[in-house]
Amino acid sequence: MKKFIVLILLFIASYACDSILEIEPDGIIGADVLKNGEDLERALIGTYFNLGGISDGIDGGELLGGDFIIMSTLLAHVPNIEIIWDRVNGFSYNNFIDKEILLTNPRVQSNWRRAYETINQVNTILANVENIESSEDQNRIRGEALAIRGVLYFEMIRLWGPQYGTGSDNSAAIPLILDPITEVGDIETPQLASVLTVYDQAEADLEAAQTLLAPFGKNGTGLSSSACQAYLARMALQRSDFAAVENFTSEILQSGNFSLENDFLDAFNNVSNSSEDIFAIQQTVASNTGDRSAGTGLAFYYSSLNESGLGALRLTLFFLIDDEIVSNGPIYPLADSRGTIDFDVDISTTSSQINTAYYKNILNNTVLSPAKFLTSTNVIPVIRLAEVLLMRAEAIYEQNPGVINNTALSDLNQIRTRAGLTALTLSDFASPSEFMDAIRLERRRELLFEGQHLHDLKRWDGFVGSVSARDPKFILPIPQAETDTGTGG
Amino acid sequence: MRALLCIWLTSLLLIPRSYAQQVDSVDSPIVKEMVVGFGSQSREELTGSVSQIDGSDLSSQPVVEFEQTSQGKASGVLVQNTSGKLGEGTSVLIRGGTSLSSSNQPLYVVDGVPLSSGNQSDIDPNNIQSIEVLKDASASAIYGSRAANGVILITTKTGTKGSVKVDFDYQFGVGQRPKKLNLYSADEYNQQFIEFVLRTLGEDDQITQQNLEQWQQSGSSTISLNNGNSVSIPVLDSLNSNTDWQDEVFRTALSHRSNINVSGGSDQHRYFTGLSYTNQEGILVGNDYNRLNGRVNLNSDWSDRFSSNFSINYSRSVNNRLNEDKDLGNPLQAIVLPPSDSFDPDNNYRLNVRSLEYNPLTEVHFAKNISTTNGLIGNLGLKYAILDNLSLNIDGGIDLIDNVQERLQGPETLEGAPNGLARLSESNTFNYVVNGYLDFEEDFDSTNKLSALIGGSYQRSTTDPAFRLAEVNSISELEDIPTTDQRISILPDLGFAFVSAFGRINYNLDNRYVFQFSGRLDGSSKFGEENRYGFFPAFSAGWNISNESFLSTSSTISFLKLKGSFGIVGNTPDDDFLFQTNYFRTFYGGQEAIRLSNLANPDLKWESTQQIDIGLEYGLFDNKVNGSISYYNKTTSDLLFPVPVTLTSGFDFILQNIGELENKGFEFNINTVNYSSPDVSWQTGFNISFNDNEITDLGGRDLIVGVNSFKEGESTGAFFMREFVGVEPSTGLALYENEDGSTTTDWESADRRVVGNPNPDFYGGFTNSLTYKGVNLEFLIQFVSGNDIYNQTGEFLSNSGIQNLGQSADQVDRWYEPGDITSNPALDPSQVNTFPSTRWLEDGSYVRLKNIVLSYNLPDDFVSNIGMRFARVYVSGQNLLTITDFSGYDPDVNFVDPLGSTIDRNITRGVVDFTPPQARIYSVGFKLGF
Repeated sequence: MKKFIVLILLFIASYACDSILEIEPDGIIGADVLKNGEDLERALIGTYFNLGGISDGIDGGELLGGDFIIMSTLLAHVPNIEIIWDRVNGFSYNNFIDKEILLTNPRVQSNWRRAYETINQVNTILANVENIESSEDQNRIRGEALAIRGVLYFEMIRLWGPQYGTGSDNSAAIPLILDPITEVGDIETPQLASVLTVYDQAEADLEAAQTLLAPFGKNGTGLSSSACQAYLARMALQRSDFAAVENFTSEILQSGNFSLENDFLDAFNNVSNSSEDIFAIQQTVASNTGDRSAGTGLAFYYSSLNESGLGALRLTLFFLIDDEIVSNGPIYPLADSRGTIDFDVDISTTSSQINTAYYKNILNNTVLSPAKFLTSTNVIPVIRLAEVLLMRAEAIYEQNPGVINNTALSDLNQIRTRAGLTALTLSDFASPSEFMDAIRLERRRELLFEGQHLHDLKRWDGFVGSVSARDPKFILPIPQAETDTGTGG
Repeated sequence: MRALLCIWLTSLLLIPRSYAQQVDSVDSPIVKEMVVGFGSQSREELTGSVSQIDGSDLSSQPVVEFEQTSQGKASGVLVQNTSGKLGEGTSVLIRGGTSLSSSNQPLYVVDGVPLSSGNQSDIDPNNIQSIEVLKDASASAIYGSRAANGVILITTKTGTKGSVKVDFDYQFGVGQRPKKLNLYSADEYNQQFIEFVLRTLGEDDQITQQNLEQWQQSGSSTISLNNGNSVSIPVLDSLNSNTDWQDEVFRTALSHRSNINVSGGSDQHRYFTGLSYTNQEGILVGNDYNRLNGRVNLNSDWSDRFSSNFSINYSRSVNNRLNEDKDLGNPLQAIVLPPSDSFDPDNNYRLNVRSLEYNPLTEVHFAKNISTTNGLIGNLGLKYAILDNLSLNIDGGIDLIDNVQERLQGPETLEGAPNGLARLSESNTFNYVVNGYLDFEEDFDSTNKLSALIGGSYQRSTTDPAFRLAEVNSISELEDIPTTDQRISILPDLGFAFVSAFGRINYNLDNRYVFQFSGRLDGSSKFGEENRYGFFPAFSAGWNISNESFLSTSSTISFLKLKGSFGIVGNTPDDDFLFQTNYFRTFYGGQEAIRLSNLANPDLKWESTQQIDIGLEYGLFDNKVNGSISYYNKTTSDLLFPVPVTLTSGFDFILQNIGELENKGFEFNINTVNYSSPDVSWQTGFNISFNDNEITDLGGRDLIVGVNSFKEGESTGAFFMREFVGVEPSTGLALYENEDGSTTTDWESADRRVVGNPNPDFYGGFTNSLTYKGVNLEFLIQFVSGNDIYNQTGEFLSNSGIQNLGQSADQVDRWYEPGDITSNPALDPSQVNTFPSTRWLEDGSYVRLKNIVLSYNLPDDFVSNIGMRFARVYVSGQNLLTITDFSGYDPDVNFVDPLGSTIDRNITRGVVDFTPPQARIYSVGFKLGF
């Protein structure tokens, strides 16, 4: 009997003392978060952190801040002829240059996971956004959250799904998650949504965001109404909806918020957004996609500067200028500032000393390194005004393929003259289809290694070497770690 | 505080119990008291399974961590060194690990203070009175939720009544590398170099071992092939040095340690103070360790009823650390550098020829990695005897640790180029505990004895880590530059609290039948409200057969006891606050940001281990032979395990309670006094432990990390990899065997199989002590058997010349031309990644002469004449002899990934990856008492 009393009393005592177990974590924010504007604002910044693949010590270099560019670039080029990949230092990306992507590829898996992590935080913000008192802030945060989700679903469907309009629009592609997962019990095996459903969702998100963000102008470094339009234009272009492309691009150009830098080289390696950056990933010393010590990120693989990286992405001079050997190169004319090369570099060369588009690879002096992403402390342009001009030129032409329109020609010439080339006139084109060739070539020259070429080849039904870019080998697989848990089964 | 009071008040209402008595110990032939949680028990009273290590056995070993001194000394306790680097931690597994994802290390309790800091490693062994290892549920249940992996109670020395006693000792040691590996000669390397170039050029069919020898011996860097081609081998003529890289990175390491204790006391007050200093060099260049340790113990009897004890232990250590085993810059990685190359100290120690290979000496000379730790353990205990048979005890303890790690890599180093790279990590742990308990003991009559103990406890621990990094060339500069110019990780604080009530009732009938019921109710902040509390009971009984009338007159059997126990103990996850949704703080573009760190997991609950223990203790011939035999079976259920989930949740794994793990084993101890006379004595002790460990259920999920696995039906960490079965004579390719017995040269497609077990079948120790007058010879032989080691070092060191690195000499016998029969595949210049296989899996069993001490006590007459109590001089040796088939430096090391999670550490067992070996140490010393 006494033992029994002992136990009872112990229980009473302990429960009376329950409150002392309610200790508060420091340095993390627990339980009741996202209940006010300040938390939601910081959570939104956190989604940009993820969207930019900012290194957190475990992951780094995913999504818009790295792999969406690196993976696409490696897939879109023929190894050793078009570009050379350092298979030792860049071994986790060898699958992409080989065009044989294993289901267990670690980069595919980490991008997949990180994309859905970002989407989940967006969904959580959207579920709590009404906790913000100011309706202005509420609209902005809702708008940016929707924009991030739209951008990600679009980028994912064009990487993990077949090209739109090639007969697979109703086939199952990727999970479409729109509800927040906050507890372990919320986790469910997701269904795969069709290509069309994902595109429609991305479009709906971006259109809603564009409206919500309209009053906020350039909206700092966040996604703005113009950025939504730029992404809607990219998406419409991928779907060959040229009228929509023209509309969206024209609105951006008319907004007057952005202008081309006078010098092409000024569009890159900036500590803050350039005048032509419509959206860019922010990098600082304190938070970036990775550096030499982290061993991740765009600069680590693109730059061979001693301060930045290992220069795994390498190219040869003939790729830049020789159309005999390489049919798919940019073929830079001598005057083109986008094809300039600095051969006078060595181990002590710093990023500020590079004033050319390419430089001799510092670790292997028989090849070149591109100079677009020299360090891990500069912004990474995601969508630039130059691309918007090229999209409009193409869209105008495609709506009326027999005709060379003056606006389209002027858009193209803005890109050419900025690079130091002469403006083209109607007489330069023997037939209207040559105008389209000129746009394609200019896209190649202007956007080289920015991750767009794979998607261009897919929509143009082009080839990587002798293989159609629409071949399933250019589609990222759903990682095995995902299918192992029952997804898509 | 109100809450604390309510626990105590509750306890005060209740019945209570007893404390100490002095009787024999189990593991030692010398009669001692056995400390148990919140008290001590006699050998006859004890029903739990407890091993004791006497403090005097610890003090003369030249090691820096106290855990190392207990290796081989107690049954059921497997002590493994993580490496020969100084002060880098030791793994202690009591009766096998019970968890897959949570810590498997025992709970350390120092003078009643449960630690969460790791401070125990810094206690000077000279100050330890005894160590008790609580192994079964009955002994450990009073520590409840943290007892699943056993409890190690450390009791420090206290003063005794009498005049001032001063003890002083000094030891000087010389350490050496334990062995030298047989590596390539310069010629053998150059032959490989020629082969590497020829294979790169596609001249494979020109290669024979004889040709390579001839070409190399010709001394010419232009080679005429039999097919008429002439090949120039670049830089071959510059590869003309003969560097012994092992000699460059290993050194003779000196160590000094000294200790002074002053103790004494009056009727009322007793004191013990100690001050010690240790300075030890590592056998690898760049590694050394310094520690200062101070200690004060005060015990006071203020009145007949009121007494107190106070202790404080402070330590400060400064450790010049080596790079992590796998990092470039670990000095041991020099062993794969070309022996025919050399380096230039005036050119940052770069290699003169193969300058792209990184010389770790560059790191040694231009980088530093200093870890400075201040640790404090303090305890104040008050005891008041309310009645003659009832006392109230209140004690409080603190346990603090402050660690600063400064790592600076100069611009000359690989990672530090071009500006230098500075890293600063800081971590503070503040842990305190308050206990209150009532102790009651009543002898109802001569045959009925009841004792009881009841109390409560509150513990709170917080750890506050911080990290910063910038590309600068000094730590002070790092501290000064604005936070936006450095990478700062805002690491979440760790913190937990326990509120507990515990009790123990013992009933002793005529010293023949003893029963014990103990239990602890633990509440932990680590769980959600639904699962916050766990109750951990244990019941045990003992039968002192030798006290029965039919044995009481036996001259053979002096002590015989049968005992058994059953109980449940718990374990908590490593991470805190998992029950709720948490966000990390971070930055993006200079703005504050938060990111989801975990999904709320309100269903997470205690991992619980049921344990049955049956033991027999015996003493024969007046206890000249004594020891114990025990059998145990532990089943851990609700294992905390990271279960793979859909990545669309944003996570790879979620910690859930799933699965079951079983450890069962058998332990045997025997201690004998073989001969004893006033001048001569000979005593031996032997212990052996068998543990069998199996994951019985994992919900159908496996976890594989590297070459280790957690798989159903297998031991924890079972080696899971491709089985290497030799070399295809026609092609020189490695052959791997599939499960169906077929072989393939395609590594990727070959089946992975469970091929080994990193856990030993058995381990133990054998001690001998021989005394002739003042001369004493003691030695400890320690052994481990049946475990496998994956010698991951071999992936680079013994891999047919991969990456054209320097190799172990056995790689000369590799495949050169079709028809060669060998166990080492051909050199493949395109192979840059290693392909793990059983090629490097080895038997890890060993027998080691761990410690041997020859000492001489100066005659009593002589020392007392010069006013001393005793004087002793000794010489000793550590790790003098090791018998093993393992080909690496040391079978008793284990690679630990510093960035790995607890689960990685638990799964990655028995792997050696350029892991520095323990030193062989010769020392001399003296101990003086005044």
